[in-house]
Amino acid sequence: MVKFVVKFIHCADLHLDSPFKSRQKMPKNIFDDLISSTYKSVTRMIDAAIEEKVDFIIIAGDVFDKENRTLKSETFLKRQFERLKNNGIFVYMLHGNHDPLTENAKTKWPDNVSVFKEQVETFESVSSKGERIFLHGFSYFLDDSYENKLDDYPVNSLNEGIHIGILHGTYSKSEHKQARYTEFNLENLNSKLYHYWALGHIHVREQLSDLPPIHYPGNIQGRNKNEYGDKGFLLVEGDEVFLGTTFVPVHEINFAEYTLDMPTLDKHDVYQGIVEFKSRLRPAGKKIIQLTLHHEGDDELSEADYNELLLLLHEDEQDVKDFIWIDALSVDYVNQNQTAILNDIKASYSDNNEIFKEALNSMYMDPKINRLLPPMQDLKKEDYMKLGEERLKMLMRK
Amino acid sequence: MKILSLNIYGYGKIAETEIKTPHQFVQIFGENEAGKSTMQSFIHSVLFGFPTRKEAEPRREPRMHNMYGGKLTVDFEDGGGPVEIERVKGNRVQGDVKIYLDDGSSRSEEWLIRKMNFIDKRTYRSIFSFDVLGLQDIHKNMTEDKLQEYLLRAGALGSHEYDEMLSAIDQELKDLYKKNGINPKINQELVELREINEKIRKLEAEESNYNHLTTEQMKYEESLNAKRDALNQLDTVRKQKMKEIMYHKDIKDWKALEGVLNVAPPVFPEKGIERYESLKNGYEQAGKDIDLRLEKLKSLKGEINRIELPETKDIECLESLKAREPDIKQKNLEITRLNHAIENLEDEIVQLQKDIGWQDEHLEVDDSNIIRESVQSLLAKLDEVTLEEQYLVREIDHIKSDIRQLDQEITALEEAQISDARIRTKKEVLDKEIELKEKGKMFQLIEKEYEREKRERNRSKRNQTTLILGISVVTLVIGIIYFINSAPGMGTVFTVIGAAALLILLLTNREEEENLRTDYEREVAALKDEIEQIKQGNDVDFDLNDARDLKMDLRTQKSKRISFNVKIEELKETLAMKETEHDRLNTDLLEMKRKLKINPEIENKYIVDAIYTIREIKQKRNQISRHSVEKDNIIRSLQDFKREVKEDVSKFGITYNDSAIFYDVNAKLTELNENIANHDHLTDQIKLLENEISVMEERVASAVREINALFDQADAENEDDYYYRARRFEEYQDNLDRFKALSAKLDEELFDYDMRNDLASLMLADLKEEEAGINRQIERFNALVQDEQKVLAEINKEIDVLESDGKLSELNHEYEMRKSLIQGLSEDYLSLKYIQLLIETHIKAIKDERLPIVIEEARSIFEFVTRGRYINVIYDEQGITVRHSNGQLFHPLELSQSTKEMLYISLRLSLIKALQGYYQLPLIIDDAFVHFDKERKKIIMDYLRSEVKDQVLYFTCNLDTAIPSNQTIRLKEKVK
Repeated sequence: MVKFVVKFIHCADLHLDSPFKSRQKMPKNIFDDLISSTYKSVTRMIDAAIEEKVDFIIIAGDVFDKENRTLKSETFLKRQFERLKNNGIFVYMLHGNHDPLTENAKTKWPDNVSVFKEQVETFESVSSKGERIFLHGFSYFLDDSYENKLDDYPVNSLNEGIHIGILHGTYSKSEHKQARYTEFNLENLNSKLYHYWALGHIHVREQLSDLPPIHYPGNIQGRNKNEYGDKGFLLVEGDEVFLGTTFVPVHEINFAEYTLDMPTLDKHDVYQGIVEFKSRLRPAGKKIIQLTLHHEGDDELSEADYNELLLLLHEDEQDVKDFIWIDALSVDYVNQNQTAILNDIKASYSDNNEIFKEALNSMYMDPKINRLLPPMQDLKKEDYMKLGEERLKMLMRK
Repeated sequence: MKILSLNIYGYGKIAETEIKTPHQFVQIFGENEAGKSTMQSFIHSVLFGFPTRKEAEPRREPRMHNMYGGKLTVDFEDGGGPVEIERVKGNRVQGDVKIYLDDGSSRSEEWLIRKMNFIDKRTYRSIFSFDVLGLQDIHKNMTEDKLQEYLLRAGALGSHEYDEMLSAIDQELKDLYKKNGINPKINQELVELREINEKIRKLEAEESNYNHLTTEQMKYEESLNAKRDALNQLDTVRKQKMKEIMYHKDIKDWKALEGVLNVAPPVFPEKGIERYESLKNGYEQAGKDIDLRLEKLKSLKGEINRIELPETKDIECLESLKAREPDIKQKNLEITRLNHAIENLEDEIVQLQKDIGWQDEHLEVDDSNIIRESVQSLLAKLDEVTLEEQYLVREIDHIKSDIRQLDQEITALEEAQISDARIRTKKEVLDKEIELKEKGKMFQLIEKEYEREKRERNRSKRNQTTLILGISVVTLVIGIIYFINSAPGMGTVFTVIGAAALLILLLTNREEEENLRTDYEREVAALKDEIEQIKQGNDVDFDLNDARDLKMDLRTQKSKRISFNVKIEELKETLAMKETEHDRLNTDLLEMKRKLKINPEIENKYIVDAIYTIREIKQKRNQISRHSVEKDNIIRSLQDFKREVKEDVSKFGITYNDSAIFYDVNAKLTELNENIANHDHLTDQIKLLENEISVMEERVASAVREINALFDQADAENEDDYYYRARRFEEYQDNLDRFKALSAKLDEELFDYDMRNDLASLMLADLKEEEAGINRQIERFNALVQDEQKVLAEINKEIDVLESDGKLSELNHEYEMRKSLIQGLSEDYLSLKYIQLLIETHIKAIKDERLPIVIEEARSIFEFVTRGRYINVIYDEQGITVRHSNGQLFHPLELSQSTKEMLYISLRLSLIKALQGYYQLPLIIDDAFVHFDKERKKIIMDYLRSEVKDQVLYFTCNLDTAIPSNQTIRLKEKVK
């Protein structure tokens, strides 16, 4: 038995009930599974907390999702917190940019839940082994207005108990796409002399430092194709000398990218090949995958065939429990260098922003649709060039 | 880029061919089917890949060889030296490419593609290749549009598909989205999204009601709790009231008793009535008992007077009599026993007499030990004699049988005897054999000696012979010499001497004496014959020793038989003596029997037993006589006793009887003793009764005293008064108990003294009225609570509905899903739109920027090749026109065939020149100038050779002799 004086769960970015983004229309069963996936993963985490008899759970922000913050998710979470309460487990939660304090919770949390306010504050807890635990953190007041409150975190000068910093923010060296709230560097954190930093906001699991342990647990369930791999929480246990972490996956649906060699692009062969591939994946559970077909031959897949193929593959997943949903299917033609037809154009006009803007305006000038689209300044013409080229190639393969 | 050489491993019908093309202008001459087109195709293939299925070109894989492909050595303008490009059949349809630089390093295909500025096969062909077919095609369809399009295509660096692309993009865009449209995908999605959004707004509004509901819920819960408290209180009051009503009667009772008990408590002795009654009963009973006992005393006294007491002397007399009973009884028994013994002994004597054969008792017979011992010695002797006799008889039998056996043996031996004559003969034979052996040995010795001598003799004889031979030979030779020398005399002498010597030799060599040996041999043989004769004549086949032994045995056995016969005689004598002694002993024993008067028939060995029996008889006879004396004594004493007793018992009235006397005496004695005991018993009883009567009288007196004391205590005059006082006391006690019980009960129920007093003063009806009032109030409150609960339940239900309703969440999901769907489609749309705009911009740019340069260049070329006859090429809104030197404008259709071709070539060459900055690749011309006359051909050739900077590969079937032969390659010779 490993000796430990405190045992807790560190998770972040639950994004309860956050909507999934797909370019494909999905059958009901997959849609329903996607809706319930965040709930299921949170339930699994709570199950684990009870089973592991942890002292408390830290949720480092973004408990809810801006895009779908409903009573359902709050009620669900309240029930789960009540389960924890019945098992004597405390919850320390802060709100992030996706669920700021201004968007008040409609329900009341049970009394085992402590929510950090917008100013940095400290909660004190006592672990089941009698160790004093100090938890420092703050919540976001508004989603997009924030000031760096790192300076407000107290420095641990007591040399007593275990100090845990909780922060929803962005590591200055992070390369992830998430909006860069509360940027920090390791020096900022180390200077507080805490025993553990429980971070949130970045959806990719990452350990920034060994001593003290500084962790992003990543989100608990992937929500789009960029959030691939196993998702879950960190089980932390140890004492004031060392707090070890164990990653525990609880995701319901796994996102993944695969490349499949296809010696021929005959519609039927491709279908058969993908079906076999899917059946190999299936035992590992529900998956939403990006599939690239790697073709070294001379064949081409026409757009009609492509659409038919995708339709067939999607129909196969209707009402399948462990579905393998192909979110995107692309063909990598090794032997075709048709990009040459556009090379000259690309060489001549890729720097011309006016043309790109003009193209964008065709939609952004339409008030019916522009509010649904991402901000214009976020779009990169290289991406559109590449996408357009692919689409064009596909069209030309008729 | 310049092609320095072609090395074809195998392509079409060409195999293993190398052609060097190091010049700027190379004429490749070959007749039809010489392989010109194959070679062009080969160049294309090596540079851009073997034809794929899509291309309308044959792959030209050699049918007779395995090798497909070849190598081009080219020189890029960068001065890096010659580069080898090798393409052979490989995994890919296009073949595998290997590129080797001059410095020996190799490069990838990507390097080549980059080096050639990403040009593809199709573009290369449409710009750098001229063939007659293409020219013809073009001048047949040389409309303005086509030319213009062609130029555009060429200008767009091979993107002849732009039109197709644009129309495909346009179609797709129309399908995807149209501003204010209805049918395109995005527009449709937008409509659906709007609908979902509306639903979401509605649901959100509902959810915002949630806060209001929770406040209401709390308000009602508080109010309900307050009302429930009030109800609880009322209920307590009501319960109190009910209790009061329940205990009202008790309280009243309690109050009444309190009044009753408010007097001095009466005095009465503890358990007074019981005590009194028991005393009274005891007193009466004692009186009765005394009377009964007096009565009994009287009767006992009467009884005692009736009993007479016997005298002590009589009793003693009877006692002594009784004491003699066992003695008398013993004596009688003794007589009986003695009689029995005598009888038994008599019987035994008779039995014993029978055993020894006596008819009467002969008590005088001597049975002393002397007699017995003599008999015993006689018997012992007899046994001894008998045993000896038996032994002797057995011994005799033994010897007899031995003799018989000896007789048999002797007979057998006599038969086995060997006659003396035979023995003698045997001895003789043996002697002769010994002699023979001796002689044999001697013969061997003689033979050995003889052999030795013989050898010695032979040796000396050989020496002699040699000597004589030598002498004879010498003499003969001398003789012959003499004969030869004609001296016959001396010759004859020596010849004779020689011959004589030879003769001597022959004579001395005659046979020796061997007589001695032969004699010996003969002698031995004779001896052997003799022995054989004897052996045949007599049976000598036995051992001499055996024969002697047999004779000895016979003699021994015979002497043994004689000794046995003597022994048997001796034994017979001894036996006869023993028999005589036996008879004498038997006679002695008979005498003894007679003396003992026992049956002479009795066996000898039982005589001793008979003597013992006689002794026994005598003993028993003595015993009988002793028993008789004893019996007589006893009978006498019994008669004395009888006489004595008869007198004694008569005075007690007992008649003597032998058998009953002791019974009678006993009965009398018991009777007397009973009388005495009875008397004593009655006396004791009388005393006891008298004591009891006095005790009882005392008890009666004390009871009377006690009763009086009780009466005094109760302050009672008499019994009736006493009972009255007792009743009063009891009544008081009952009241007191009841009062105490009620007090305790009321204390239990928490009615204190004041309350009891208050409640006692109230009427039951008042209380009931109060209770009714409380009940009414409770009912009112209950109704209120129920109403509020109903409202609260509704609120809770509404909250539950909101909480459990995932509709909003689901719609949000759907909304986001559709939104991202729209975003995806929008991305498609926007990216295609972007590409569309790019292509359009590009086309416009070409039209605006490049075309004038191309036209200008075409003009100058056209002017040059037409020797100044046409001075301008104009490209405007109407299309392309040319201006003649005379100022007239001509539409291309108005030009002559060759001029049209000239214009076309000029435009192409100007295009190549204009693209100089992009591509520097060799021109491939496939007999494009067949329609030209000599002069024009010369002009165009000159132009190609002087003005074109790129390498020109000119394939033709009409050899142009103006081209230097070192720049000409004749294919016919190369290709078989």
